[in-house]
Formats: sequence, C-alpha cells, structure tokens
Amino acid sequence: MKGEIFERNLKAMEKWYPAYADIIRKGDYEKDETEIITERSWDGLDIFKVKQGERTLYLNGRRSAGEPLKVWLEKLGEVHKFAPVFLVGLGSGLYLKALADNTDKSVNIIAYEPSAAIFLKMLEEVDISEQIESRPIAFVVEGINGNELEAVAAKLMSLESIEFMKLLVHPNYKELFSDRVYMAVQQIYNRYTSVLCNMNTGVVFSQVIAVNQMQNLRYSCEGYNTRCLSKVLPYENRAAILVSAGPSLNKNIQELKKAKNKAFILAVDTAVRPLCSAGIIPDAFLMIDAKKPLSLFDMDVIKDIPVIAPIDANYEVIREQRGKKILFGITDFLTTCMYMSVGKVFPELPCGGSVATSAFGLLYMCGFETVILVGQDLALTGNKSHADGTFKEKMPEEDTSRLERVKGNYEEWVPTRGDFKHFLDWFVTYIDGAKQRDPEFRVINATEGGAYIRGTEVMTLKEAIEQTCDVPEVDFTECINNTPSEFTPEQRQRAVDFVHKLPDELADIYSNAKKLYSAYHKINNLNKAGNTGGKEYAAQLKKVNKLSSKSMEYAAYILVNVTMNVADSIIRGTSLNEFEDTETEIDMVSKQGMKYAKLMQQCAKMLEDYARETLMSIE
Amino acid sequence: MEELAKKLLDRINRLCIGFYYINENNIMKSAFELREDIEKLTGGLLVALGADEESQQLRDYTLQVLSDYVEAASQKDEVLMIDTLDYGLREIIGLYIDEEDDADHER
Repeated sequence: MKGEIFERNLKAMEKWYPAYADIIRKGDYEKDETEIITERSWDGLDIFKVKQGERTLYLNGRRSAGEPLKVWLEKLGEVHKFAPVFLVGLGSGLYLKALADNTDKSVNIIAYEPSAAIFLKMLEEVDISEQIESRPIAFVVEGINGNELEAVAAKLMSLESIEFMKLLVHPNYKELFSDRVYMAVQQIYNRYTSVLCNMNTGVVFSQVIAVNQMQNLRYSCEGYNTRCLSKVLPYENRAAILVSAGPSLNKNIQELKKAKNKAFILAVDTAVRPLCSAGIIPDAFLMIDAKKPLSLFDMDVIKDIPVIAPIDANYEVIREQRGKKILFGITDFLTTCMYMSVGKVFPELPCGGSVATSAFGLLYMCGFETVILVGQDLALTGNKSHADGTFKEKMPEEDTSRLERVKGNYEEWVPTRGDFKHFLDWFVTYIDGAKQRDPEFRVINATEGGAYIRGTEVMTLKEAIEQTCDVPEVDFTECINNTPSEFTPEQRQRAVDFVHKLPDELADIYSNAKKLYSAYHKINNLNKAGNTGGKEYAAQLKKVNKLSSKSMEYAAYILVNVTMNVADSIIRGTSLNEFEDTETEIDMVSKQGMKYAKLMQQCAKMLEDYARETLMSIE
Repeated sequence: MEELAKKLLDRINRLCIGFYYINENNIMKSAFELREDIEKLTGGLLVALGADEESQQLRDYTLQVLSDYVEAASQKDEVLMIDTLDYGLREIIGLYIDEEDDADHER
C-alpha cells in the first residue's frame, strides 16, 4: 500500500516535473537522519511525530489535526490569484493539502522542506497526488534541491505579485529545524526586499534617470569604461582601500594618509568630502545615485578626482568633474545597445544595491588580492547613519531602540537598518563566492566599529596598512587619467551616430503611442456595444499587440520606459485584480491601456524635444 | 470548582488565540503557569469519580490529558500542548461550566 501511494504521488509529480520525480525514484539525494513516527489522530488524519536529538515533537495535534487546519485557513484569508505562497515545512502534508484544496489553481505554491526524510515519508504515507497533479507545486527539499530556493523565489516573486505574497511556517518546524527555517525565511525575505527596493528606487528616480542618461551619453561615446580601468591599474601585490561613509570613518580617517600612493584608494561618493576635508585625496570615487546632492562635492579639489559611474548617475556631478569619467553598467540597456552597435560589450559591475557593493565588486574584478574596508559600518555605530562631515558637519543621533541587532566588529551587537542588513548579506555572499574562486583573496575590515561581515579579518587600519602597504609608490590618478579609450575613432563615430538616431526613434514611438491610444479606445467602445466577438474587435487586439511590440524594438524606448516607471508600477499593481465578468475586465484593461498610451505619448514627446537639444550637439 | 474552571477556560482561550492568530512565541511559559490550576481541577475530579464504567472512562480520559500535558511540557512541544489544552482539557472544563454560561463566555 505504501509503495502504491508513493508511486501515485510520483506519477502526479511527473506531470509537472519529470526530472524531479526521476531523482526521487533513483534515490539520487541525501536523506537526513530525522526519525519520523506516524500516527493517526483521534479525528482520523495521518500525522507525524518527529524525533530530533533529545526531543520528540508532534507536527499536528494528536486529538484534533483537522480543526487547527480550519483555523489556519481562516487566518490565511483569501489568497489572491497568482500569489506566491511559501509553505516552510510539509509535515504529513495536511497543510499543503488544505492550501491546495482551498486556493485558486493559479496560486503559486512553493513548498520548502528542510528534511528529505520527512518529505519522502510524506510521499510514502500520504496520498497527495490529487493536489500535486492539480497545479505545478514547486518542491524545494534540503538534500534534494535545497539550494534552489532563492532561484525559485526569484522566478515567482515579481512586482506584480509581491503584494499578495504569503509566507507560512508549519507548526513546530521552528523548534525542529531552526537554522534551516531561518535561512529559508531569510532567502525569501531577501528576494522580497530586492523586488521592493527595485520598485521603490525605480519610482523615486524615474523622472531624472532619462535626463541623466541623455546628458551622460556623451561620455559613453568616449569609450572609457571599467574594463579599460582594470587594464591600467597596478594591482599585483597591492591592496585597495574602499572608503565608505559610515560613522566609524571619523575614527581612523587620518591613518589613510599613510596609504596614499601605496594602496589604491577608492571612495564612495558620500565619503569624498570628509576625505578631502581631512587632506586625503582619493585616487577615484564611485557614484551611482541619480539624485546625489551636489553639496557633497562642493570643493574644488574634488573636481580633479576621476569619477566612476553608470550613465544613470547625476549628470550635474559628472559634468563638473575635470578628472577622467569612467562608465560602467548596472541595468543600463541604452549604453549596452550603443556598445553593441559598435561591436563591443559594455562592462557591468555587480549590483548589491549600494555604491559600496558595486565599488567592492569593481576592486575584486580589477584583481586586487587584498581589499581593506574603511567606514563600512553597515550599522548605526554610535546611533549615527553616516560619518560627520558628509550630509552634515555633525551628523545627528537617531533613535535605534527598535532596530534589528547584528553582531558587531568590536561590540557584541550593533543596531542596523533594513537596507544596511541587505547590503551586509550581499557582502557575506559575495566574499564567500570570491574566496571559493580565489582562496588567496583577503578582505580586511578596518572599520573601527559597525557590523561584522563574515569572511573578513577584523583589524585596525593602522595594522592593515602596516601589513599591506610596504610597497613602492605609484600615482594611481595618473594611471587612470592615461587610460586609453576602448573605441577607435571609427567606432567612436558609430557610437555618435547611434546617439543621433535616438530623437527620431522617439518621434516614431510618439506616433505609435497615438495609434495605440486609438486602438484601445475602439476596443473600449466595441466592449460597451457588446461587440467583442467580431472581426473588428480581433483586428484591434492584433493592432494593440503589434504597436506595443513595435515601440519596444527601438533603443530609445528604454528612455520612455524608465520615465514611465511611476505609471507602470500603478498599472502593474492593478493588473492582477479579479473582475466580476469579462466585460468589466475588458473595460478596465482598455481604460488602463488608454491611460498608458496617453502617458507614452507625453513622455515620448517631452523626451524627443530634450533629446534633440542634448544629443545632437555631441560631435 | 466552577470558578476555577472558568478561570482556566479563559486562560486557555487566550493561549489558543496567541498560538493560532498572533504567532505568539512564548506560549509554553503561559502553559506552564496553568499547572497548579490543572492539578486542582483534575485532582478534584479524580477524587470525586466513582467505580462505574462511565467514571472509569472519564478517569482514563483525564489521566491521558495529564500525561499529554506533562509530555508537552517536558518536550516543550507547542503543538501537543495546544492540542491537549484546546481539545483535551477543554472537555473536562466543560463538566464544571453549564452550557449557557459557556456560550456566554464564547461570545
């Protein structure tokens, strides 16, 4: 009988994931030692009791396993169509069954099980074939495919679905598998934060990004990028120092003078001013923000420092720089397209969400064997968010009583914010990956305070400089200023030609948007007249598809797209709403389409005028 | 005894709400605190029971509840504890509270 149940469950699984079922059949997994005792509850359901070390815990009630499920479903409430629902812990499958039986088939269930032994026992003892067959439930099981959780989460959590997400932890799993449950929840949370950060950043910066991109395109045409930079920087047997603007920077900033011309000093944008005020001129600085305040760079000495930035970055800062302007991509498709038109690949830097994470990625990619972190607090050391002399001469203290605590470099724990914690996790993951690839890679955390970053050696900056800077002097800024361009004169001309085409492309997008509006309008009218079955309706739908995809083919659409981010997020947010009937749905969708097309027209027109004025002057 | 039963019922209800609805983390501590009252209630019942078959069944039932309470407490098993209190002890409490009062309480 057990064999029959197992086979039935696997057969159902084959419908969606044949390879996964095959792995289980072949026994190609690592089964843990968890001991499982099966029982029948007093209300007649199969339940598991799990022995883990000294403890034996029930996963469902022995008297009533069914009633708590009803309460659980009541608490869960209505689950939205297409919502990602994470169930951490499967037990004997009762919660999975309840979830699958009581939600729409479009709901994406991701079932994470920290014990392969429990998962296999469930497949052997409990018939859940009906539920498995009804929809593609994503099973992520430690010992089988546990490392896929983040990838699965990334696939199923999007801007459209994130607000409907649910996360459920099976009773007693936190007690039995605390570490794994914590890790799983952390991975899901990371993905959630990442989607949210991208959305918020997009909304906040959407209005200025297109302007920055157009203004900075002239520098893209020059062909200086981070790949060229990596070729000219002397990195062998040398350390690089990444200076961030955390509150601990004030403690050891003066020490940096000893490292000048010995180690490559790269500053994040916010740290430049306090550094220069202390008489330390970094060899370069990296900036990302589209709206970085100009006041952070209002010293003349800063203007000669080479700047490394994506084309989204605040053009007003880049324009003022007399030093070399080195570009890189993060999500910059426009320059990517431009490089492609020249037959080149635009180099990208890793994006961990902050300037420091990208700067760290750059230093690793440049080949430095040792990176020393300074001012990288990732916490509110002394209840301050940044070093004095950054945004204010004396940064104010903040109330940190409600903030999360993490292990400190010098203190038992330090308060941190959600975004800092996100960057902290990024550093840990990146360093771990870098060390696997290159075991000699050293990261010294010389931040004299702040959060502990796993994988780093904690020491004072004085010690770090003594250990790594006994090398001949070199003028890094001069090396950067002598960086050769990646473009030949012919290639540069092709890049300029690409840029000159953008205003005309925007004019075409404007004209398409007008036609798109008219098509949506006709669809709306046909729907009102109850005429959605005829040829005219089909023709208009075809037109909408054609016009939408045609606009997207233009490189200039990237500019329109980033500018419409606000509207896009509003429209996306309502795109998964449920409607009473098809007529209401068509009415809503066509009206949204009209709004969208109208907005696209306005954007394209505004950008076209600006592009003619800005881009045609590039020679 | 009725007062004690009402007091216990109230605390069990609070515990269950904490467990099911607010994901309260520390229900074991609150459950341990019920120990003396549970002993008093079940001890009184066991003493009062006769030798007939119905009494014997009730005795077995009560002893099972006590045994599960002890197991849940020693294993720190929240699931078994809630099951024992919500679906085991609640039945015993019902013997001391008349249905009308109970209904008022539920409301």
